[in-house]
Parts: sequence; C-alpha cells; structure tokens
Amino acid sequence: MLVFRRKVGEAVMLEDQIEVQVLEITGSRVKLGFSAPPEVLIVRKELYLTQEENRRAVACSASGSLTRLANALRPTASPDPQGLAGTLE
Amino acid sequence: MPTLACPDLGQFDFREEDILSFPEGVPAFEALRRFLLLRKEEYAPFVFLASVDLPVVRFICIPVCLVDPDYRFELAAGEGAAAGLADGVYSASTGDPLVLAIVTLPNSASATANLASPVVLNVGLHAGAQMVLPGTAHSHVTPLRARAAVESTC
Repeated sequence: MLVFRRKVGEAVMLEDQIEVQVLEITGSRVKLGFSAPPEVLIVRKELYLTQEENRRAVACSASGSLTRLANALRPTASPDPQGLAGTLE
Repeated sequence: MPTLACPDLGQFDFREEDILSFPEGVPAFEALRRFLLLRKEEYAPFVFLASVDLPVVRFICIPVCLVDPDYRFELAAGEGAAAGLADGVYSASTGDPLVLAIVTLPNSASATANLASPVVLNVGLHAGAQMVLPGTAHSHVTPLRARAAVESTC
C-alpha cells in the first residue's frame, strides 16, 4: 500500500482528474473531500461492500436458491463443511 | 386483497398494512421502497424479504440473534431515521426492532450472513432500513455455521 503523510489542506491526485483533499481532522476522524468527474463513483467502502453483497445475495436468491436452502436445512444433507446442515432439526 | 407472486415461493396474499416501507430502499436497490416479510414453515428459521414492486428481488434473511445472540449495534447521527429508530445501542435479541441478516447462499454448503449491515425492521411503524454500520467488527460474509441456527427462536 502506498502511504502519504498529509496535513489539512493538502491533497493527492489519482491520475489526472481525481483529487482527494484532507479537509479537517478532529480526534480520530478525518474529513476528506473528493473532486472527480461525475462518472467516477465514490462511496464509503462499507456501503460499496453492502451493495456488492446485496447484488450477490439477490443473484444467488434468483437461481435455485430455495433448493439449496432446503438442502442446507435437511439434516441428512450431503457433505457439509460449514456445519449448516443438521443444526435445524 | 393484493397478491404477490414470488418466484419459487408461490403466491402470497397481503394487506396494505403488511407492507414494510423502506424509505431509502436497500443499497444497490435504492429504487425499491416497499417490501414484504414472507415466512414459509419449511424454510424456518429463514425468512424472505421480497420487493412488492419487483418480486425477483428477494432476500433470504435470518434473525441475527440466531447467528449471534449477543449481537449489538449502535446507531448515531440519525442513521436509523429511515426506520424510525432513534440514536442508541440496539440488541438483536429484543424482537423490536427485528434485526435480520441478509444471507448469501451460493451453494448449500457455504452460506454467509451479512452481519456488517443488518436489516432493521421497526415493527410498530412498518418501516425498515439496512444499516450500513461504519467501523463494525462484523463481516459482510459471516459464515453461517452450526451455531447459527441451533435455536429456532431467540
């Protein structure tokens, strides 16, 4: 990981058009400002991960998920390294 | 009485007051604001959160207290406003708000639950939201292990 030390008001550039500026530091919190073209999607990482996981959950949910759920719930289901089967009797 | 045809699950009759309002949708599906909580005996303790307006968007969920009986989370700076929840610390085991984790089930041997972003349902208000908790120690892909569902109620 590339590491910079920056003070309030200082910034870094990501390629030619994306600027990340340190706006404020309060205790353990840092306020960052982003300047980028509108097509660049900027979200908090935890939101990004949630969006990705929700898309994945729906995709899995759409394709035969209920069969898999039924299998997972069946006590005698085949090999079950995660230990999900057999716990819901 | 309106009916929701949910792929694989069948038809569900519902009343208007059964609809759960998600004023902000859920991340990646922000336009979907109305959900139903569906239960089927054979899939208990899993439940289903299905979009009224786009029923293919259907989340398999599990009560968080079955995965982690001690699960707690904190809402600050009005994060819970969409679900009508005040700032404060909430436990998953009180039943109100109902705290659910979205389950991802790529195959029957590797289910995970998203404990980093619980879905909270304000039962009294018929409102809900997915809480994207900052700085949480919980994982988006918590393995659903044996302990996950030993109890069918919490």
